Amino acid sequence: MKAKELLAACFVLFGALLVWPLLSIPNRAVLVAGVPALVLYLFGVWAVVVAVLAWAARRSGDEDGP
Amino acid sequence: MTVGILLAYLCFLFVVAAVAERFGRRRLVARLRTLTYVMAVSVYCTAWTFYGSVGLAANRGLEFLTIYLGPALIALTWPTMLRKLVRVAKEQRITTISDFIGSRYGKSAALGTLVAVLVVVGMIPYIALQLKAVSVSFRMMIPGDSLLSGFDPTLLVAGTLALFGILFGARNLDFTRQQTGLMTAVAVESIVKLVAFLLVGGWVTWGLFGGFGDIFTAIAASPWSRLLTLDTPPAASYARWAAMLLISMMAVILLPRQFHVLVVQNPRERDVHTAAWAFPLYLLAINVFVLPIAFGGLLTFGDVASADSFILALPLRADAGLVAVTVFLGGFSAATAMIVVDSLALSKMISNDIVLPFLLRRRRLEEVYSASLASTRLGILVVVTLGFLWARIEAGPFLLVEMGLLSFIAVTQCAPAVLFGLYWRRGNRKGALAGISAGFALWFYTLIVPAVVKDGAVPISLLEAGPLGIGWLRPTALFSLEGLDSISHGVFWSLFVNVAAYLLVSIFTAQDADERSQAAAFVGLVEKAEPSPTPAILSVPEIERLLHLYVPAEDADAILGELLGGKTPRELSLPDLLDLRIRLERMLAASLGAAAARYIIEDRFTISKGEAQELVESFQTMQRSLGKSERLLASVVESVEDCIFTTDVEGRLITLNPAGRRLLGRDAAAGPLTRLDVLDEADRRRVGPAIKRAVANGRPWRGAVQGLTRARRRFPAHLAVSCVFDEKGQVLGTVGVLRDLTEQVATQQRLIQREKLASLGEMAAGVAHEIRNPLGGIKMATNLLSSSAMNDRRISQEMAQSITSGIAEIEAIIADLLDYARETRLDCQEYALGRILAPVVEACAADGRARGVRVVAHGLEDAVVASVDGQRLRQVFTNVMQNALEATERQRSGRVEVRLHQRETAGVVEIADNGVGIQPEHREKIFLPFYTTKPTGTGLGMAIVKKIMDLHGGEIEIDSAPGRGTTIRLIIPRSPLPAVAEVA
Repeated sequence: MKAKELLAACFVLFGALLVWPLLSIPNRAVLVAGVPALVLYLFGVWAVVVAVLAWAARRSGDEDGP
Repeated sequence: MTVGILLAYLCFLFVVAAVAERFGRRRLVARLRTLTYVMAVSVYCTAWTFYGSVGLAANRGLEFLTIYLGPALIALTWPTMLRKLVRVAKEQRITTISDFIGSRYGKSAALGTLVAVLVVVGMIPYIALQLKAVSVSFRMMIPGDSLLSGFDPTLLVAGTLALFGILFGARNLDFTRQQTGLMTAVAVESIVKLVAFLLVGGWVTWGLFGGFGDIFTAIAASPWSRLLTLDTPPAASYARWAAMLLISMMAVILLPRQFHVLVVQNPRERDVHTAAWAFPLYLLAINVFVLPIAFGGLLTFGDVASADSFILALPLRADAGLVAVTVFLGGFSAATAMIVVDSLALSKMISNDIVLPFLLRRRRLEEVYSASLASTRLGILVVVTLGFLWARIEAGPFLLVEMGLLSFIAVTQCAPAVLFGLYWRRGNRKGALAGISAGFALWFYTLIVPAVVKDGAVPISLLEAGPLGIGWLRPTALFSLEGLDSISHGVFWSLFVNVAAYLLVSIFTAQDADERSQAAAFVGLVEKAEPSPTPAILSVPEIERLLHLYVPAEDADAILGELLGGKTPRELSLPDLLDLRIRLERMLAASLGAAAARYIIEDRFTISKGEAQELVESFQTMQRSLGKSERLLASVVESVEDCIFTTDVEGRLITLNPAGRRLLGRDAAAGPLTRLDVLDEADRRRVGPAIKRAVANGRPWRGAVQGLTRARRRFPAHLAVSCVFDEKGQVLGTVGVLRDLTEQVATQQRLIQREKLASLGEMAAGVAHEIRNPLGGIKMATNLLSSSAMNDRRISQEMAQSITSGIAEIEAIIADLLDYARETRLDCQEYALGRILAPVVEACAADGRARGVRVVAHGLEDAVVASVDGQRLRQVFTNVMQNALEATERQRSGRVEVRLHQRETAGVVEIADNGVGIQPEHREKIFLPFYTTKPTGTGLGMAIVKKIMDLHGGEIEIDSAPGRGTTIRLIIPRSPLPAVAEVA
């Protein structure tokens, strides 16, 4: 149950990370290690979302049983 | 060569599907099924991903990412929202998105038809887009001078895919069954397209260029560097970004193919959790190389004109044949998977929500099954053909992406009805109709009209000056909303009006019974759906006939067996038949849709005369058995010993059972009475409002009361009042049970009396024991005196002395006893308890030092004031402290702690020791006079403590563990209760 609440909260938080105004922070013409800042930022957020969901799936798998 | 690969690949798909279908019957391993599901969900990535993303990236930079970021974001809600959606869909046997909406809003055929038409219209361009991608990529693969250059494989591909859909998708009318072959083929295609994309991406990034850094650095230095950021000024660009995120979040669930794979074909509910992380990961992987390919294309070709085909043009230009073939196959697999699943889902909508309602209205029911299967299969052909034609006609300068986006926005119009429908019970059919119609109307006006204008079919003046020259009606700046691009403008208006209409109409109009029961089933799955208002009951032969009409003959018998659950038709009771009807309706819904299933069962069938007779008989049996149980209940109420009464909502007595009439000496029929009339006046005021409140809230009330008879005799009683509800949950009245406790109270008092007598006996025994010791001494002395020793003066003097001391001892005991037994009057004054306690503690501390016990005091200076008899209280403290000292004196590091503090309106003196403790069996008796476990002392100490504390209205709490010590708390109220003092 806790995991589900956390996911709902993450939906709001990550949602905020992906729209204006927060999005305007990485939106600048800079290359970081050869990759544009915005590209790095978006893929980074994306990877964290996947990680959170994978963690939640493991937990719910434990709860549901085999 | 290319044609050969294409044909080989199509054959490969058929083989995969056929093999999976065979093995699927033998139950695929669960893990494999989950994997298939997860991969099949990636049917989301179409040829649009393959070609369109690169094109969009080359034209507009990072914007293409929103199409995949949105699904990754919404995946966070899948474990809750999607799981609920899947559960509802499975329970209601939902097959399409239009079926879902129709079913949620009272199995409405009209709503289902509306959604089906609009979604089909919205999706055709999307299918056309896939075919167009196939055709364009094919042409690029075949060099211009080839013999085959005039050949367009699109028609062949379209035909083959339609056949594939018919063979592996529309085998059976029941779409809720696992379509293993189809799902496996789609899953395999997902793997093919991912591998292809990663291969070509890697090849471009590291083969053609020197890695990510190389490409990005080159682009940053080129005229296209603006692609690396979102456009400024931000308003338009960020709004478009947010709008695209939003529509892709909705589309990933609501697109017909997504709904089919994600919801309808979901193998197990909890596979949703796996899909929730694996699908975003898949999207992430397939997008990694989009930017390098797009930028690589820009750097190589220096032009955005053919950006949509960069991915294929790059290997072709470099003469890397194998890479080119891989890309072609990847794009082809992406397109085919989408076409197959989408056309299948759309055909189901066409058949169930457009064709069937028409058929049913014509009442040609015998043909329904075959017609429905035919129309589903034909539907696939129709959808694919329409897509093909559209691809042929639509040759304008329209980017692939724009076409795809319009489809996304179209299905997003279903989102309010679906999402609110899942969580908000009041959302109703009229609201859904209004919202969806308005949303689609605005979608058409703000998005399709401008697109058509761009194609030149409509004069451009419409866009620039507005229809009939009305400026604020311009399709791209509705109500003069300017500054947004066309996508965010269209998304905003269509969704805003959609949601507003849905909410407002739902709030201001009512639901009918069907809607209410479906809303309850969708929103709160926990409770069973309300039974429909007029349940049409089918007889078993009717059900059999129905099944044979709508299900292939070979399945019909198996299904009937399953429905009957091992019973013969004769054994079925009426509730069984009702249940059978509901399950039959669901079963039909899986094939024909909810609206048609309801229609068929409700409208069409009546019962034969013989069956009517049976029904009447079974009703009569039921009534008889009901009558029996009613009489049984009545006799229970009549014969029970408690007073049972019923009242109406206001509390007026309606009935009173015989026991109640006897007890109260009243009769409900004799005159108006309320339930409070059976209570003592004081209780009416005390509990009356509480009962009223409880009844108003539909809760029961129970408690101890004083009953009152008509003869005004009071008696102790227990009253329980509970509410009676009608089927809608309204309170009809109350039932009360009044139990006379007179007997019980009397018994209790006898017990207390007996206990007192018993303790008196024990006390007498104690006194006797105490007196017998000195008496023994006296007796011996007198014996000696009277004997020969009489002569010895020394001995006789000794004897006389021992007699005197024995008598003194007895006198002391009697004095103690008298002291204890004498009626004591308290001489109360206001004291600070600390001032009484301090000298006692001081004396004990000195005593303790002699015995090796530390005495510590806390809080004596606190102003805890009470009205007490100081002298007697000092005695109490001394006795308790002495006991504590005696209990600890033989302990190592013995310690007695005294604490004084305030608890509410009482002072508390806590005396804790770490001594020997009190054995549990002694605990009850330590306050008895002459009860002692010590070799010395009279055993009156604690009895006196108890008596004085009782006189003060105080209490004594004892915590003790043998071997660990005892804590005694003396709780002294601020002022002694006079009543208690008297009684003592």
